[in-house]
Amino acid sequence: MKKIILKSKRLVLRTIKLSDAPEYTRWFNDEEIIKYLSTQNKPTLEKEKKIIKEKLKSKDKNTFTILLKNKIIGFSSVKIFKSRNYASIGGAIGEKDEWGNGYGREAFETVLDYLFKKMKMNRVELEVYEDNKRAFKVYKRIGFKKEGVRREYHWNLITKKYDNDIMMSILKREWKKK
Amino acid sequence: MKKIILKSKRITLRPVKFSDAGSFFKWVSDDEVIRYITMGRVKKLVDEKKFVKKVMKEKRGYFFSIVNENGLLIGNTQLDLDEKNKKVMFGLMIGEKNEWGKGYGTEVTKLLAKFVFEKLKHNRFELEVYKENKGAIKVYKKVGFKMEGLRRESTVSPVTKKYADLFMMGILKKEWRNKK
Repeated sequence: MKKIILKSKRLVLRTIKLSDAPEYTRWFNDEEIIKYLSTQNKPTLEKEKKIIKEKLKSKDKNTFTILLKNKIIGFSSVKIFKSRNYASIGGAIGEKDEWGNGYGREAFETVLDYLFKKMKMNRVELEVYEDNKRAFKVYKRIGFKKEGVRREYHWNLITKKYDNDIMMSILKREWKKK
Repeated sequence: MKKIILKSKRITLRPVKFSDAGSFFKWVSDDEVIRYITMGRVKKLVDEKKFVKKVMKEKRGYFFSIVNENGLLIGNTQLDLDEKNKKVMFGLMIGEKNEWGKGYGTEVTKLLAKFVFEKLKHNRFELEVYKENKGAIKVYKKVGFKMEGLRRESTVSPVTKKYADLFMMGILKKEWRNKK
């Protein structure tokens, strides 16, 4: 993937580096965080390094590490479906003491701006666990529209039950940067 | 590609063979056939051959050729397995236009649902279908799929080159009853 740097009012988003592995490993072993992520397999540091190396080789994916000043606080990952001109996005603020400050929204809006204006995408979509009410609200506020509910779409390794998934999207013509 | 043969009254599903590429290419060169598929147009036979080779190597799914009671190759169908979430994504094409309207699509869908729930023991069977493809939607509803939502402009029609909407449909194990 290409190395990219994006900036917003308070945050810097840059393409993931191998040296980010310790933070990612800590987040992906925290059940409170991975409870609502689609990947839930608690990597070791070695395994996470391998995953990052694989990601860096990929052509259609990009993972941004989110920095507040110089502190790594979260990530946002993007996958581009070129032939259909759309992208899917995901992510989390992994540092829990930074929750509630609107960083997730700010990061997502920055990535959306990049995807629509720079990458000329027509559609950006995301999946959110139906139980993840807080994230759902944030996505709605950003401008994502609910498109449907896929029943029992996720087997949740943390809560040991099937969870419904909400599909949301925003189209280029709906996106206006505030 | 995982290998197995499935049979119902009129239909045999067998693993795709390299020699099927010629028929596949004929189908995907026909606008009427590919109007409602989500893959791009294939321009050359050699590209279709490459595609068949690739899916034959693919490990996490099944790719079947559909053969009818007269031994005629009439279409193909694909299952993509998600082991973590115990769900299977499904795609289907009846490529021989003379065989349209004979209920083969319904028969294949039922046979695969049975395979997914009873043999693979997965929990969810899902698909996406063009909003305009009324015939297919009717078939899937008849088998028991429920409408779950609409992904707006999530594909580009290989014929019109315009964005198109796809319905998401799904059926759960607990909803599945084998209608014999």
